[in-house]
Amino acid sequence: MENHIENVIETRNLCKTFQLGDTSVEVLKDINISIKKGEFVSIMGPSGSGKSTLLYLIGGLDKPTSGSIKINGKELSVMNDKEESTMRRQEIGFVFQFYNLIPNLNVEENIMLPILLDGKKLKITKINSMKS
Amino acid sequence: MINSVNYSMNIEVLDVYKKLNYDIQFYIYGMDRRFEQVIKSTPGIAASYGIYGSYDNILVKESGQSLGYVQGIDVSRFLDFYDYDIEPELLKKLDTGRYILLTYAQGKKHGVNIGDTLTLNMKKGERKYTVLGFFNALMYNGQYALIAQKYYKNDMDSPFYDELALKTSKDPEEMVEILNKKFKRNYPYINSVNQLRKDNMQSNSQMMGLLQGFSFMTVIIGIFGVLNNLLISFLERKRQLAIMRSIGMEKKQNTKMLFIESLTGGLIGSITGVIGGIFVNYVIEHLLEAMNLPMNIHLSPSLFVSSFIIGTMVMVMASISPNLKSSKYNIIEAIKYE
Repeated sequence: MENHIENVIETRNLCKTFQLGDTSVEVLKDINISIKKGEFVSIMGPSGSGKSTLLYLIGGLDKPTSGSIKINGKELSVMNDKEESTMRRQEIGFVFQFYNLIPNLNVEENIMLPILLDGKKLKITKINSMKS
Repeated sequence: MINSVNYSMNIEVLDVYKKLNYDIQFYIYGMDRRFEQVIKSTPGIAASYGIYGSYDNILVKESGQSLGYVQGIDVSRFLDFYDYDIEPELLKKLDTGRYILLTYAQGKKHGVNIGDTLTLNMKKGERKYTVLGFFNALMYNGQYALIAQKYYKNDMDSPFYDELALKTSKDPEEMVEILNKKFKRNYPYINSVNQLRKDNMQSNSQMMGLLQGFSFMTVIIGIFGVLNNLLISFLERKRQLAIMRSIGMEKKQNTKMLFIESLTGGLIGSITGVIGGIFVNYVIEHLLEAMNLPMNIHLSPSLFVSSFIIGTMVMVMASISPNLKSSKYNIIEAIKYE
């Protein structure tokens, strides 16, 4: 049990299948991963092997076809939208391949956005000290 | 604009007829004082006033423009039959020479001031009349002038009354029927002032009804425009919204954001619309004046308040569809959406 809590990311029998017309494309099949706190993990594989899909599932951006994902011991599939969003704001940092910044916000605002969405007000002095 | 003009027309028409302090308008060809006595002897007729007036285009030499309706008045009795705000002293002076009283609209049209002389092209030739003053009247679209009866009769070579204004002790409609029966051989034109007002308002409402139909269609097209704009704006921002969802924006926050945006847009749009409406009405008032149709534009507060509320509501309601769509999309698909 203690071991499970130490796992910040844990997937069990994770499957993801995409439906392309009549054809089912099984992108992820029974993926079991355990990543402990402090570990640095790289996921490698050829193009189309499902790396991004796996990250999307772990990040709660997409839903798995079957299997379970736990972030800090909490099961993603039972989370409601509020819990899932809070997890994305507070526990996961997602850097997209193409950055995906909000074009009408400046760099500072883009950085501050998750904090603002969390309902917190960042003190200007703190931002300035971060800048220097 | 159309609704304000319609609203104003109703007020102004009521006001025009309120100024007529008699019950029945009577006309047959060749009415003189003797005929007036016959009318007066009819049971139910309380008083009569013979009107000398001409719709002929009496040209003003100085301005080269027509004077509209010129009435030759009996200054001692005029204010018993018309409720115009004219000083009795002015009327007394009107009777002392070739003086003329003009509506303010006429004064502006001809560019004259008190004391200026107008050369009028009348039936007996050119006559010079001095402007004695101005008064407020929308009758005859404000193209209205008063001169003394004796000078009118002489200069317009007019031995007959053009109309008789009658006051009755009976119900005006009933009196109209009695007079119609009594003078049916003379092919009379007899109408009660109430009926004239109703006919006028009815013809105005028919004309404005058509225009209001157009304005209603414009509103419907506008609503579809707002719906379309919000939907397109949502599609354009779908990716942006998905990015925000990916960094932790809740569906509730997303809905709240779109709602606040639409409410702000609705409020700004409605305020701009109301200010624009007031400005257009101001322009219309001057435009009508330039077209020799002077009319005070009355702004209906309830119309502006309801337009403001409806405008804001339309915008907020138009955001429902983008809101529903935004709560259903797949974040990854939306992020990849270009």
